[in-house]
Amino acid sequence: MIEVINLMVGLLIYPGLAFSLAIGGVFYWLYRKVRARLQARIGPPWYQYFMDLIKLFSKESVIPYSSRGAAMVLAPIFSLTSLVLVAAMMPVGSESIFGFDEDLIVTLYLLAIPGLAMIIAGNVSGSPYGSVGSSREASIMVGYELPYVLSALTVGFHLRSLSISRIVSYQLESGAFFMKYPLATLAFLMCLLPKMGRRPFDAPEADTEIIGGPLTEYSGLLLGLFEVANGLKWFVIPAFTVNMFFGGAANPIEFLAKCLGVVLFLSVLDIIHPRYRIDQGFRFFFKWILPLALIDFVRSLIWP
Amino acid sequence: MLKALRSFARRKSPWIMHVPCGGCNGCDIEVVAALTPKFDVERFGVLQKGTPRHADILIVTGVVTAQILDRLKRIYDLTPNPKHIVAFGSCAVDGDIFREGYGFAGPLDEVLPVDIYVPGCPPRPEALIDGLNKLLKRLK
Ligand code: SF4
Repeated sequence: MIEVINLMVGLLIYPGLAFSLAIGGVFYWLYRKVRARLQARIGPPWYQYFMDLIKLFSKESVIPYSSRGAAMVLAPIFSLTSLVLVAAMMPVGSESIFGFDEDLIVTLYLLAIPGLAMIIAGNVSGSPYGSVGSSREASIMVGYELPYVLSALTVGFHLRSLSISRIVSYQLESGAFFMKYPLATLAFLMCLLPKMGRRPFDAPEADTEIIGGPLTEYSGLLLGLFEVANGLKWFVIPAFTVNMFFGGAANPIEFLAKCLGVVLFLSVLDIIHPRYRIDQGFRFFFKWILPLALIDFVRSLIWP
Repeated sequence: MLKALRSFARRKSPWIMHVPCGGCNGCDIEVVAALTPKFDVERFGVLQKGTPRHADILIVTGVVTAQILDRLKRIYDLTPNPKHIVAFGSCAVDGDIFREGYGFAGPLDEVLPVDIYVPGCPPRPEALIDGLNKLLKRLK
């Protein structure tokens, strides 16, 4: 009984859904605010993200006649579920609640699902813009997923361990990994931009070219679920980065401060860049980012 | 309590879609100007969306022509409830100088239920912000 309650609290409140959503929503607002300030605007108030959510949940959800209804409803749920699971496994501060010995691999898999959910969403919604969006998402995914996994595994190979808690505790003793593997860190950070759908690699969701991308036909509750997943991404992905490369943290406050640093870095990169065409983005990943990740990956194998 | 939260959220997060009909393009430029840093409607939570599925408020500019009539109705039907319409510019309000034209298919409010009128040829971006503000005050 106690275990079930613990599990529910872990999944739904701390560090699962509620906590991650609150922090992620604030981080997302921060991104919008920084963007507004750098463009000499005022920007939205801090509760903007949550108001958007409540409004979307209170609207009518239309499931178009030309879509495949079941898959259209399931796509946001896939995305959301995987992100909640990752959030529950992520060590906030030094200890993780549901961490186990191979959680690095599981996290890598689960973090690929939001991208897949986007591809499903675009294809089943029965809109040509959606199909274009998902084909773009699929091609950029081929580009970034490989260097992303390689640079994450670099750390795992260095320690001969696949446990995130182990990686964090090692870094707390002997310094963060971004000192030892700067190239892998850089590659990892670059891969986060398309993962979160940010410029210069936001071609899949380019609202000036293909309307809403995969989300064109989504409305109301279903769009709201995708918005929730987006908010969770703004916490989960920086948190994963901090745990892997920036030394984790001994307590939650320090941890959130480090996440904030990653968020600000990604936001500024997003704001100062225009959008790459899909082939340019793809080429960038294969020409520059993959070699960077490979160099450090090989280094971790032969000279840890 | 929940109702109050819901109406607050609706007032704080109006997503707009700009529907250009058969105008002279003057109004369209003013709508876009309202989204630029100088006027910054994002501070009221306004986001411009390209698809009617995401929109709460449709901003219609220009006269309703025979060409656009069916498409306009279809865009209106695609928008999920609750939805609102802003008639932006004299053309959308009553047809203005194009009233006598052969392509004129009736003023906007005979075609769709209009919630707020913003007159002017073209209205300034401030007028759009004022109109949105008055509309949002009425939302439940
Ligand atoms: S109201 Fe004036 S500016 Fe606007 S579309 Fe009509 S003629 Fe052009």
